[in-house]
Amino acid sequence: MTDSAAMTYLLALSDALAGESSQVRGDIIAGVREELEGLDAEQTAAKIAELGTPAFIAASARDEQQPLRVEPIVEAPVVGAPLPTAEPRWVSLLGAVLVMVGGLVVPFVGWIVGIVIIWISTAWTRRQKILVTILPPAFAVLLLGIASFVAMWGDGVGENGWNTPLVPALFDSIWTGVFAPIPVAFGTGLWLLVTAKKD
Amino acid sequence: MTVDVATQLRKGVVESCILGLLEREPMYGWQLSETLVAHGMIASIGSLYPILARLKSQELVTSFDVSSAAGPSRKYYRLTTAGEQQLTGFRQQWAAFAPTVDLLAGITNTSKDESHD
Repeated sequence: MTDSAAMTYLLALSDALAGESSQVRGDIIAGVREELEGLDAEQTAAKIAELGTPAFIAASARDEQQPLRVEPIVEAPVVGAPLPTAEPRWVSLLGAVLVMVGGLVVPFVGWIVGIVIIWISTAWTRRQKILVTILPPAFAVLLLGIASFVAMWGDGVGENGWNTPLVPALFDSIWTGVFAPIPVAFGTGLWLLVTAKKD
Repeated sequence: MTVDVATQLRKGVVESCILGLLEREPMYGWQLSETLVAHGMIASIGSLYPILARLKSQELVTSFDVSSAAGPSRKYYRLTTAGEQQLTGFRQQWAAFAPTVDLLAGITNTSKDESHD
């Protein structure tokens, strides 16, 4: 015969184990009932103290059924799922477009902003970034060098005193040096747009 | 969430400890629980039965009822043949595993050290 204190304890234990599977719940209650059967009130109280509260037993059961899991330092990507993006897609798009036409919208500054974004972005390799940064200014410097050379070589006036169209005037050469990098910047920006990593 | 080392170790070996206890003699739930709690392997009798349920579902242990005129009828657990094989396999692995961990983790054998003094 089970003591009333034992019955109360078993009922409380049954309630505490409500979330467990019927097998675990039944096994625990049966196991505890075995220990409480046939005990007098004093022995029952001592055994209950030894068993612990129903809430503690239920918590132990829940904890035991939790899979052992250690939080990884970096979450491994799910196989087949796309890799996490390092930056929004619009960043690389904006950078490439500014390199293409930024210099036309806000002369020079627009292109510089585009180059800064390109360097911040992870969509291109370092080699690509260096090339895109160097190519338009290098082209401008080259043309300006040619213009300076022409200016030193002659003033564009032929032996007969007429201006020869084969030799550009210094003024024209300088303007060529200023504007010629624009299509180069456009071309490199287009190249960036095409080669940007999509993810 | 991080899990402390003691919990990881305990969860890794508690099933084998139960198999080891049951190899010596069939035991009932409270008997197992008392021993394991005393050794810090489980928190309470509530921890024991989910483990026993797993071992039963893997057919490593089986249970049987024993009636007693003097006391309550009890459910005893004992090893199956598969449980004995599992325990033998664990012992072989542990024999190689434990010294390796001792070596790699830099755990010194204090009893040996003391015996040299």
